[in-house]
Amino acid sequence: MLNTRNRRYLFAYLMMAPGLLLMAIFTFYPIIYGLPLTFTNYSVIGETKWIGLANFKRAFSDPDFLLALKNSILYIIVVPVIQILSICMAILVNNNLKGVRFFRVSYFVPVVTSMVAAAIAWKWMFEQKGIINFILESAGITNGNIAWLANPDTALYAVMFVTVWKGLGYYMMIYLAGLQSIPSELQEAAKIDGANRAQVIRHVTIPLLQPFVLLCSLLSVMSAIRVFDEVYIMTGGGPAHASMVTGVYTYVKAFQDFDFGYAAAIGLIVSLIVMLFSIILFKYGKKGGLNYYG
Amino acid sequence: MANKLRSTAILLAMMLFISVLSACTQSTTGKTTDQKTGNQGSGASENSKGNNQASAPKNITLDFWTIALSPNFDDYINGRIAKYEQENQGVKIKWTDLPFTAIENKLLTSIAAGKSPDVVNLNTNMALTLASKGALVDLNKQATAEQIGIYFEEMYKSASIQGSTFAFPWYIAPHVLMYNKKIYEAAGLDPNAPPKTWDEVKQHAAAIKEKTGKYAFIPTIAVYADLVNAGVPVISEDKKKVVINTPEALTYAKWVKALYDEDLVPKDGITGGYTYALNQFQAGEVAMLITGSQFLNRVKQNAADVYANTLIADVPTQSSGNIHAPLMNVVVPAMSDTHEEAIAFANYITNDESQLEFAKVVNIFPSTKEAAKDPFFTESGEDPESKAKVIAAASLPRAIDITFGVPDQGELISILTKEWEKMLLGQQTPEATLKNAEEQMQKKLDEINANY
Repeated sequence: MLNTRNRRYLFAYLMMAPGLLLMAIFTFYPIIYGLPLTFTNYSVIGETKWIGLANFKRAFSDPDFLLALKNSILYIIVVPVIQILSICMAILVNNNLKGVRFFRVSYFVPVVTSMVAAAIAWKWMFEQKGIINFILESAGITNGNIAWLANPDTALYAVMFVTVWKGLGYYMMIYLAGLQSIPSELQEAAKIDGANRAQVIRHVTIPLLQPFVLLCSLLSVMSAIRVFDEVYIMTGGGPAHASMVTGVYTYVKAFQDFDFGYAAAIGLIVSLIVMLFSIILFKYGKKGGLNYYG
Repeated sequence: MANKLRSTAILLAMMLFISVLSACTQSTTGKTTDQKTGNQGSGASENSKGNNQASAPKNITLDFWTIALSPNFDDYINGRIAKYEQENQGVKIKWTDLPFTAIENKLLTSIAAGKSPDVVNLNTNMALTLASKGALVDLNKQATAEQIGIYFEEMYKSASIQGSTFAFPWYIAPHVLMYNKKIYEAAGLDPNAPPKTWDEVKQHAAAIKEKTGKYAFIPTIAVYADLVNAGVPVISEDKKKVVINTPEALTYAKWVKALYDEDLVPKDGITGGYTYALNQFQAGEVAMLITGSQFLNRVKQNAADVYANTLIADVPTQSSGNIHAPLMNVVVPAMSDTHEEAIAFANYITNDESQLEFAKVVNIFPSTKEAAKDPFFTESGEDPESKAKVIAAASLPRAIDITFGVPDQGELISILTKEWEKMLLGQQTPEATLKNAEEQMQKKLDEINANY
């Protein structure tokens, strides 16, 4: 006969069971299955051989992978840009201004737009005779058509711009939820103490938003390192691998060259790097909020 | 109780991990692949099963996969299938059409899951990639001489590696030159005198850019094919040496680089790919498009005004006089459990009758000797499509599906393309490009040959 405590445990496990089962099949099993693959030359078809650490040695002497890794880490510069802009937007749309609902919806539209459709549209806009060049030339900012996506100096940044554009609304909504969870008494108290609007934001709002900043930063760091769709569609990693990132490189190795063992090893290396960034973010970003983590 | 549950959870996790390791060990030791012939151990045993079935009363369903033929050609494919089923009682064909970008992965995952289709439409590069992994039937060993004998020999040899051939050639589309009459007139050029050589192409490009501000054309991304057409071997006959760094290659590389340096072609073409070139032509933004005549149909549907102003001519050729003509093939995966019937159907869908009927539906050309002789290919009309048909048919003897005939040739092409792009972007000289490409490709080819 189970006592009350164990009955609760059993009930909890039973409630979790369906979800855990699905996660086991679709998440844990592929992860665990992928680990031994990193030590093989697995190609789905053909003979599979155990090759030890050869895939890892190859990765760190493969200039294409190292370039992709460098670009993926460089991609993290989108994180502060997205976070700062989305906090500003959240603060803006948190006010009871006229027409604020329109802006909330407008900023969120990119989030619900398919990345494939968005990337194709932006690809057109970034063409030499696209609307971006037209606007810049009309405003007298540039002289001549810039091949944004075919120029090794601009290709990666043009794609980053699309990532920022697409992600802003998502993070803005999280920050908006965070802002609305902050008790208005705290801000009112600061105002009574003589703080102006900027001081309230700097000394009250932002520190209280800190747990949301941690969450959003973590999510966007992970997304930035794993970026795939926009790069694959807009540049395919080109020109001459200038915008190649690890997500696209892993895809090319796995699904174009059928080098699944090597692709799994690359995936594992990238996962460890993501984990490292997450640990750093947790270590230095967990202060603030209504209750300090201690 | 809590401890028991925790122990159970740990035990289950360990079992899961052990099962994965054992699965991996099985895959390490369980498959006996004969890579030279393309027959997997399982495939060979299934093949004998297939042969046994041939003598027994047939009750077979063949899975047939094609690339992007539905819905435009539903009537044609369904009609051929219905006829085949009528003539071969007991054999049913289940047709599946997949997008170009999905078919290779889909086939791979299907084979990995142990359930392969029986007859699959692939281009030569895809066929060679899968053949090098031992996934396709060697038709030289399993098809009859009668089945093989209907195709042009050069086309049949396209998907060959070391004496084995892995595909029946299906339809081919020799490139033609499509050009926009309006842009030609606006540039002060005679629309009745299209460029015949690549030097003339460059002259026209300069005139068009100067007078209209538009680009004349977008160089193709198939650098390897352009080099072969320029008389560069790329791969030696014994498939052991990369030969790219030649005077012919240098001349061609400098010619292409000059186009970019002089702003005679759009830089977007470097990453834009073929779709970009087609879209620019349809938009009336570039004067020329060099591609298979079947794409005229798209121009006709998407841009009627441009189609009405489209003229057709022979492709300007390089020193070899050859014309690049990408080929579609039909293969039989080694894992199909009915090789004999699958080969028979693959041969049927690519035979004279089937190909001729298909060519009458869309602007493609047959890979079979008899079908190509049909008067249909010499009857010209006034519209661009029928003019393209006659021009392309006349160029068939010079049409080549350029392949290297080595396993994993896609990886070699990737290296060449990357180095070529660096040159176009001004990151390295044509001399350095050819040297780097040759060295890196040789290293990769040595690896490929060592592993095959």
